[in-house]
Amino acid sequence: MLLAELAEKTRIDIYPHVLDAWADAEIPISDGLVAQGDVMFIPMRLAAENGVDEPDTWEPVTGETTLVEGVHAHVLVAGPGDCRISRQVTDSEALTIGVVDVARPVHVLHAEHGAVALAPGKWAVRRTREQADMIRMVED
Amino acid sequence: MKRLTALTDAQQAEMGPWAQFWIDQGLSTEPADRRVVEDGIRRCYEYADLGWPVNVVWVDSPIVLAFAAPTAALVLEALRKPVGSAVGSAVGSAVGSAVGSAVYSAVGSAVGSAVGSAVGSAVRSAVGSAVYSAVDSAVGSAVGSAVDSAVGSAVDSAVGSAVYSAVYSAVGSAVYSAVGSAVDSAVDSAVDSAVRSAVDSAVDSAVDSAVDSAVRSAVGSAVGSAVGSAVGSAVYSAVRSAWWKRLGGRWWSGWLGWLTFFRDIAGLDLEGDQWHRLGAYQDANAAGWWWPHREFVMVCDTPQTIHLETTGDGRRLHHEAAPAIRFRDGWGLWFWHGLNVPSWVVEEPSPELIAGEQNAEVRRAAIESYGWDRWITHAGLTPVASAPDPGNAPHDLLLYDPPAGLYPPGVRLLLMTNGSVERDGTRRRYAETVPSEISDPVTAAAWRVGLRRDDYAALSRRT
Repeated sequence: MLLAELAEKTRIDIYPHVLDAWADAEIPISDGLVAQGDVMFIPMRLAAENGVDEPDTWEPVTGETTLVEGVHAHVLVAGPGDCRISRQVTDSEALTIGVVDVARPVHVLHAEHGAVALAPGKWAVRRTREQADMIRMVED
Repeated sequence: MKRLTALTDAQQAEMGPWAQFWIDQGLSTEPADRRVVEDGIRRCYEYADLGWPVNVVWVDSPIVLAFAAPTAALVLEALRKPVGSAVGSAVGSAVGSAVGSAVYSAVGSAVGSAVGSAVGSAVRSAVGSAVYSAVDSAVGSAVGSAVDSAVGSAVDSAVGSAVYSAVYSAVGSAVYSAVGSAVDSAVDSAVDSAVRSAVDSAVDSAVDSAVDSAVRSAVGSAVGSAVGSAVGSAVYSAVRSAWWKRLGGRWWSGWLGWLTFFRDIAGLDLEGDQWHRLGAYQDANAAGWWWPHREFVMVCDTPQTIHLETTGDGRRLHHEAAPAIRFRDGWGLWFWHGLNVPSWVVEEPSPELIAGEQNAEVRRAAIESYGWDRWITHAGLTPVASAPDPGNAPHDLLLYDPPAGLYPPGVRLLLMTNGSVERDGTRRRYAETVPSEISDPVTAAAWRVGLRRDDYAALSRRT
């Protein structure tokens, strides 16, 4: 799918220069580690080796769901039955905001970073941290 | 009524200049002709079947309007409560001490003429210890609950939506039904969207969100701590829940441009008084934000200066050394390529302030404002190592040590390049802090998301 087609179907405003930059390129479906700005999508197998426990409570998600807020949100766009999410996740690094279990490829959109397409499987969604007096989340 | 289903070539050729005319109107810093504006607002009240409050209060900046209008409404409600004067005074003092004399005198004058100068001056003179003793613990809770309950009615007395539906949307739907959809969408994209992206979204929404955050922080901390919590929270909730019930003035030029195109260029014939309503609305919006209430109208004059930069797909507020938008009372907002930043970012960026900034985007803007190379030199950063950025060729990850004292101990800086290109073709760079035990850049980037080095090195894609 093209970014412009996808954006057209949602209420998410992608910047025109981002749409231009992505004009004719299909959004590649990722099956490995992929970053979108300060959010990282990590295949569950890899996440499990890095401190994330697989969740056991899930809720279905359909339509547009904000994964991470910010100046520009990272928004999950899914059709009925495409995926489910768990927001109660144990992570030794305390960076995971949720795990998404994808049945059919879903997209995550962002005004400045375009789109990521996630392949079927479980994905941990992690935010980014900084080292200061104490460790803190990166804010934008 | 003749339906408009096509535009002539001459009318189509007018769309571009018409959009430009409204962009110029929207961005104009000429002071308003107050007589015209007030008369326009009065006619809007007539069309909305509202009594004309007569009392028009002019203020110089949106921040004053945002605080003063809802607070004045609150004071007016509170003055009618059984414990009348104590409440009025308490609220009055909250306003006076918390948000400064500009707000206070605007409130004083709105309240003064609405309820009589004796009460107005009583409210005004109520600032001080006498008020606090009247609102001591015995009276305090009664006052608090009276003020609390006044918030709802104060907000209800804001009549923005009545004016809006009587004038703005009434004319809009009349035009919609009289215009064929092809014509509608042609003018919509050539005029409305063009003006909106240059004015409404570039300026109005930027000021809107800055005022919103100022309201949250200023009302929360200043008002809350300056007075008893009951009164403070009443003012807080009145301002929070009602400041935005304003109409946009010149910054809502987009739809005015669209509507007036049909009246002035396309010669659309509408039945009834629709064009007269539009005339009233047009005059009323010839200044800045305005906040209509049953007993007063508060109007903000235009800014003194607006600085925008033009990008490929629109305009955004930006100035490299001064506020991008400044009002006649001195209030202003600083923007770095459209990002609202604290004043130091453009006026006096320094390695020390950059080191102390917690927001990654503001910090990035501040380093750009200071200059990346200059910052690396002046901050005294020492290179530790560099490595290719996984998934983000051809960019490198750069690891630096800051000098002692600039950052908290135990910190190194990782300099990165954004995976996405900006509209001007450049890429943003970021400098974020990582633990100083790490001396490999890829390990540092991996730490940021809690991964091992080799896992992160396999990153396939970054946008």
